[in-house]
Amino acid sequence: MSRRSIATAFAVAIVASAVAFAHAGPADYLMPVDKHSTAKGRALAAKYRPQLLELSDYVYHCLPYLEIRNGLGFKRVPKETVDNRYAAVWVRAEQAPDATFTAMPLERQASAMFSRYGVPMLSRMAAFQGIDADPDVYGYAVQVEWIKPGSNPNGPTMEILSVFADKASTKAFLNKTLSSADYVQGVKLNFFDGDKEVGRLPIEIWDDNFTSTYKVPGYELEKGKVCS
Amino acid sequence: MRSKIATVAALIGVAFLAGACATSEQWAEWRSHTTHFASGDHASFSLANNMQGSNPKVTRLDIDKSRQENWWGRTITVEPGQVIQN
Repeated sequence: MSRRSIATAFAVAIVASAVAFAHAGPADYLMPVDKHSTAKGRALAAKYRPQLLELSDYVYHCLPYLEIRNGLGFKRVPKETVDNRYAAVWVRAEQAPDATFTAMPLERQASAMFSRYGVPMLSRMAAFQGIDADPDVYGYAVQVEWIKPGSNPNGPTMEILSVFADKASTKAFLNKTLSSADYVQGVKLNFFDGDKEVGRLPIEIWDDNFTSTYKVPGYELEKGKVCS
Repeated sequence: MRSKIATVAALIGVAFLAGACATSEQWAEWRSHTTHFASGDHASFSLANNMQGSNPKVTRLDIDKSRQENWWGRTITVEPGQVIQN
């Protein structure tokens, strides 16, 4: 191969990767409609695409310390045979190691992460236009994922709190007509420590306005974007 | 002539890569100084964000670049299908 063709191939590869990079954005965090395993899931993903896109855009631009994982969409509880669909968001919270957080008991860490990141996601999804009255949407699912404190930074262990909740109790909880303790008792909750399924944790939920008040120092919001 | 164009294009490519690396370093610096934890206590946030006296700016694109470079490498976790079903 000549030097000229090597240089050309290299240039093409670089330009192609730059172009691919330029197109990454909020839409890429939505699970494609055809990846939903049932017709009901696909129909919901298509119907609520604008709302999902809006949520993705909000997380992408306004909560840069969160990353949506495994695609925003309408999903199901694992192993359930009934096709109950939940508006679902899975977020990975990026946070630096912190001694105070590390010192908390596991259920306290999980409570803190869900209160901080999970509840705002529930709130956003519950506000999707039309979702409350839609009989095909059973509820909301939020997975919050973070690095297990003290794990190897070069191959960290991830911890995941997974919550599936029905629409009515979520609405009541968000409207404060249902206590957080009663709400937690009614949700399907599962905790994963690395590659192990731990099961239910006795979590608590408390008020945390972090996502609406915290501004990342030095972070420049893209021109034209507004966070509210 | 075609050879010159290819060489120039390659040089632009190298410059793009070098720029991406510099931005990643800046992001790494920014991130290493970002301490937040889920206690609900905002006063505990320590976000000294100085790099040699300057105040580095980070855009959403910088964060994307960093993540594309697979910041954490390989993680120990469950299969997504164990947590949620498509």
